Amino acid sequence: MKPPPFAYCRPHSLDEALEFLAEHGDEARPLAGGQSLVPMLNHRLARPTVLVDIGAIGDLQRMDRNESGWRIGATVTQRRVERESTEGCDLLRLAMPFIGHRQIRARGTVGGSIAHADPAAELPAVALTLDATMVAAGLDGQREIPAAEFFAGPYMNSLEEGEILSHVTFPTVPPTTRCSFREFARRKGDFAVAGVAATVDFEDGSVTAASLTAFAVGSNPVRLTGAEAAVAGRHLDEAALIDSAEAAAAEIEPWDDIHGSPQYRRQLVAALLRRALQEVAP
Amino acid sequence: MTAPKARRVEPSVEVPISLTVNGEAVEAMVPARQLLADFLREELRLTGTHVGCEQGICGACTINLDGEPVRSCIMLAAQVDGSAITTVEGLSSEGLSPLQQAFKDNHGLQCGFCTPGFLMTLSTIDPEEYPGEEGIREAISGNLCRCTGYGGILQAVRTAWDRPQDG
Amino acid sequence: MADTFELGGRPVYTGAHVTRRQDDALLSGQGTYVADLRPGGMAEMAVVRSPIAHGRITAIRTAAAAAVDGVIEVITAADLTDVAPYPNFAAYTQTPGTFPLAQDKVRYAGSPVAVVLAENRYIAEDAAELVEVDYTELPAVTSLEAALEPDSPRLFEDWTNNRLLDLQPDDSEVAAILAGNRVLRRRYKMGRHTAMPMETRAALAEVHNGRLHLWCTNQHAHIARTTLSYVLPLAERDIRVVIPYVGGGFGLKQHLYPEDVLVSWLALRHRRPVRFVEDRAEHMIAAAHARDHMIDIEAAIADDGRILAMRVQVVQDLGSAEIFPGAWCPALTTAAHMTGPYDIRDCVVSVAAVTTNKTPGGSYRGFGVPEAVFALERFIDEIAAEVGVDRLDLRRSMLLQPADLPYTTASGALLDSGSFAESFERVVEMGEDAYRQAGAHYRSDPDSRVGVGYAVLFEGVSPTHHGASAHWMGHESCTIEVQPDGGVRVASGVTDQGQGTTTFVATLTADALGVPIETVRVELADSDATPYGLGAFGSRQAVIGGGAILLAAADVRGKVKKIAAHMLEAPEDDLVIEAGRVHVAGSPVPAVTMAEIATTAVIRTIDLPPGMEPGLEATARYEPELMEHTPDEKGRINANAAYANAAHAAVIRVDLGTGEIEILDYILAHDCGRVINPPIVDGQIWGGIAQGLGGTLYEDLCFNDLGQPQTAFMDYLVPSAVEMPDVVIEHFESPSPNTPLGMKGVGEGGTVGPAAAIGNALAQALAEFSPQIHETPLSPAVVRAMIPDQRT
Ligand SMILES: Cc1cc2nc3c(=O)[nH]c(=O)nc-3n(C[C@H](O)[C@H](O)[C@H](O)COP(=O)(O)OP(=O)(O)OC[C@H]3O[C@@H](n4cnc5c(N)ncnc54)[C@H](O)[C@@H]3O)c2cc1C
Ligand code: FES
Ligand code: FES
Repeated sequence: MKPPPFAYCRPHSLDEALEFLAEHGDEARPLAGGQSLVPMLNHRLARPTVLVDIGAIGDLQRMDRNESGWRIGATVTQRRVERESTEGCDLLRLAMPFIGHRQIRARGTVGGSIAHADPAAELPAVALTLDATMVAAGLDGQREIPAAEFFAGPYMNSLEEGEILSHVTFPTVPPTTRCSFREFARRKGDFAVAGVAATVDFEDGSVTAASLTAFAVGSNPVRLTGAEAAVAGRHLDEAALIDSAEAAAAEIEPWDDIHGSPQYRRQLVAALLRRALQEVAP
Repeated sequence: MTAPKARRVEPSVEVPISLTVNGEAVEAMVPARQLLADFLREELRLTGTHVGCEQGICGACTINLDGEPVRSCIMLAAQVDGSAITTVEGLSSEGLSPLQQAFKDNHGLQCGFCTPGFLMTLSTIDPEEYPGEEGIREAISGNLCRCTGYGGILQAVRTAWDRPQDG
Repeated sequence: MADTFELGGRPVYTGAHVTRRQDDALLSGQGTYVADLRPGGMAEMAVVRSPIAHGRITAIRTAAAAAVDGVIEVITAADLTDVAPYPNFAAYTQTPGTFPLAQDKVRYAGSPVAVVLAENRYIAEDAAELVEVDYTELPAVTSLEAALEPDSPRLFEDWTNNRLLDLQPDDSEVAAILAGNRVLRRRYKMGRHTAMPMETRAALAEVHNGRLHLWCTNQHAHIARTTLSYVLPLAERDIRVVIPYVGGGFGLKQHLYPEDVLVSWLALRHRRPVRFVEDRAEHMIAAAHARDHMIDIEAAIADDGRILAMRVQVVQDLGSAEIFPGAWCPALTTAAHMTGPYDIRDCVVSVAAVTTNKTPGGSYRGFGVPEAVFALERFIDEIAAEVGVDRLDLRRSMLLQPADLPYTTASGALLDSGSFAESFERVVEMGEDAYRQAGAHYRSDPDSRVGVGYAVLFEGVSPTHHGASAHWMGHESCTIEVQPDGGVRVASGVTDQGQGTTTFVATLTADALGVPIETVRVELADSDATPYGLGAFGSRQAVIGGGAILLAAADVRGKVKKIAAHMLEAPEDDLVIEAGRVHVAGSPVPAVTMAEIATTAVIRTIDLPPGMEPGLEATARYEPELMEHTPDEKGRINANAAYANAAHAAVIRVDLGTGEIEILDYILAHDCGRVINPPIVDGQIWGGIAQGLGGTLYEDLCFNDLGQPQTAFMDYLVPSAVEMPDVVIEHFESPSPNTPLGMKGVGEGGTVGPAAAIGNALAQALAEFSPQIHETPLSPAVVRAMIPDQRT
């Protein structure tokens, strides 16, 4: 389990990194925290010939709040997000401890996790739930990609060749919005077998807006639009919980692996969503 | 930003690094693909950092990198240029540290293969961040041990952290 | 027994918490494991493994790999012209004829096909990818059911079927009882596990003065040495095997693997050190798997549920069986444990061990016993439910009572002591209490159900080795030498994979000689430095290794007293040895020290009693008398020197939404006879339970229909501290009258009970849904499937 041969560079500016990527085309790959890429190299499942380490680029390490939300640089570590308060972005804070272990989060980055687009990863689910915006940097400038368009299948994103995800903006929500993040993993720190993320707004006890997402049950995290519709305008009473859980179970298309059949994942999503909604219910 | 613009360094298969390991300055030319764990073990002969899986799961290779516990098996040696590393060999300059002693007194190890990883995690983190009995378990959940069933390890951490069980 | 095996004086260390000898080194990163060795000029090896489960090799092209810069050589089976296949000493089995590299066929995905030797592992892996192998794929046999089919494809064409082992004893007596009574039938299965030590396998071979030195992670230095001499063209005297620190073995490292042979062969050929460090991906497919049993029970049941007679069929899935020593013995061990500690006089067990296109099965802690305990203890709960009697009372009506002992089980095991009923009642008392509390706590939670389950068991320890083939049977050895300065060197054939064997040897030696433990130096696991012994398996080292130590120490002690009597001019029988000094009992002065005595014995032999032979050293061997090594005509065998016992209770909560089982309380009452080092015993129990729980709830090695392994390391869920419950351990001590100091073994007790206890707890928790609990693992998905979606 040793990586295949490659050349390595560690540029200090985004432009330089983009140049290297452009020069080496699809042979080159950005290296962020390495917590997914290096295991893949060790398994020889990835074979880039040039690794462009983006860890020394100051611009990508910034984390600040502006009027639209938290703007988090791609190489901000998961550990830093966990530790530094992201006020107005409770869902992000809730999700962080589910990512691997402390030792993984110490190196793993926000941008790396999102770019890697693991179907069972937490950050993509949070991004989708909050309608985050991904900012891609290329040699010709920047472009914004909404979360709903960013994930393009298991381990696939919609960055163009040579682009780097430079930062992600997670919109903040008002203090009245209630959030829940739930996942079921076999062991502490393992990737989820299934998970749900929820932000819900209420007025007089009725749901005025709900953003519900399931992850680890398909190629990418999915918005549970059926379940969202099932709770819209309703009090979260038993009937509403049942309707939304049933809608969620019906609308996902889960995969099969040694940890669970599609049927089991449907049951899990139903149970997790029910509990998430019970948690946020006023 | 006024930082001087660094010279453009082309990708290469050999990378110069300079860092501090257990308080001592180290300079080396490393193959780009060399894993940090292999650099520590094979080049610096610091074989207390063990390798159990090379995929970030078991925790045997955990080291202290700039104040954070990290997996040295899924980092490249090339990535630690400019960093400060502590390995198990650097935990105590004389005798055993209180943490190490607590492991010894509480039968916190059997084969000892996982032990450096546990010690490096525990010596790097802040116990305050892991309150209570559950906190202890959470703190060591990124390190696997196949021998002890964790009974002795939990007791060692309770002792080292002065945290009586059910207290 | 008591006269031959004694400590000599009042024990100072035995039974006390003696801290372990290696801990300072291990805690500061100074323990040297095989992978830490790096002699100058060392080359490294990578193995090319079959990607397919079953096929014929039609061509191997190595030129491209050999041309890689830094590659020294690429070899295949054809190059190993002077290597012999591993032997087989069990006449009652068919022989796989295992060779270190696949010759004409591959029989599992992971099978070694070629080897690259290179300047380092990175280069070796680069080149290994370039070795091209052409295969003609054959249909794969991927389950034991398929392997049992008469027309199933055969792994070994010269065999008559896929049954390496097929023992069908005469069952006419049991059949007659079954015919006249109510009969209950059930089938139980246990999944495929592996020991998964945190250190993978490793080996380093070097040639020194024309001799082969092999540093390896194997559990037995001498058996490894002898086996190498069978396989390699080398005299045994020209081989030295040394086992440095080992990162856990648990049985998996009992086998002498192809890589151990290959590093040796390459080192001899190239006259340079060769190292192999298995990586975790290889470990998943090339290191021994275990369990994977199917057990069919048919029992005649009395009106009150008691088992009158049982007919059992045990089938073990061996994988490709290409492993040495062969791994069918767990099935035999299962058979030997099918009656449990119950008075079931009529029980007949047939045993089949079949080959499939999966990684070879091998040894793993528990070794067939968890399978038997799971099947029998689930079965008893199922009888109770079926007949409508209390499951605890049913056990009480069959459990062996003190008055029943000694008792010979239907399979021939001699239970000479034990606390079966007593330990059971203790865990029942504690378990029921914990269950009541859990019930109260979760009463109002509609998504939770709680249950308690029990398992009570005996487990044979210190077994005969090597497949009841009367080959490498059960002895152990020890040399004790008192050196002129009074210090002691003790060398034994036992080995230490982290169990604390070294500390145990020092403890017993110090007490048996009456010397301070600091003056004892222990030498283990070096075939040049220790007398021939069998090493670590089956929790044997305390009992058998301890016996050898006590015998050798008794010899030395006798001579010490004779010399001291001469020096002190006092009668020998009046003398005691304490803290390294010999004096007349009750009067500490005058005294002679060990140093003075040893100096007399070795250097100033002129001062010895007239006619006494110089030297202060003894070597002893111990082979337990009552242990048997081949079955009798009815298949019965007392294959173990001792039998420990335990009772387990698990209180669980089931999450009805996710199917997850949470262990709320785990209680274990344990009896391993005399305890030498209490923390070490507790550590063995905790570790054993963690492995038992792992296999019950988390760990599973899956294969698809093509025989492709589906479980990577990230999916083989070794429990972390978060998954591990707190364990309450209750100690019982029923010393065996037939073992040294009454010791039994402790290594397995925690491992064998959890599947049964948790399975029974689950049955109770989900009783309203009448769940079918006949298999492990009880993963959340499996449990969730027992729960209907619509609940009222
Ligand atoms: C034991 C273990 C457990 C884990 N458990 C979890 C878990 O439970 N949940 C979870 O979500 N993750 C988990 N992870 C993965 C972890 O979160 C990774 O950190 C993350 O997936 C990738 O981030 P990274 O910074 O390490 O990226 P890298 O590994 O460096 O890169 C990953 C991929 O993204 C690309 N990439 C990285 N950054 C950028 C960028 N800015 N622009 C374009 N492409 C980029 C790389 O080229 C590469 O293809 C686990 C990892 C390990 C080893
Ligand atoms: S070796 Fe690094 S985590 Fe296992
Ligand atoms: S002590 Fe052996 S793995 Fe932890």
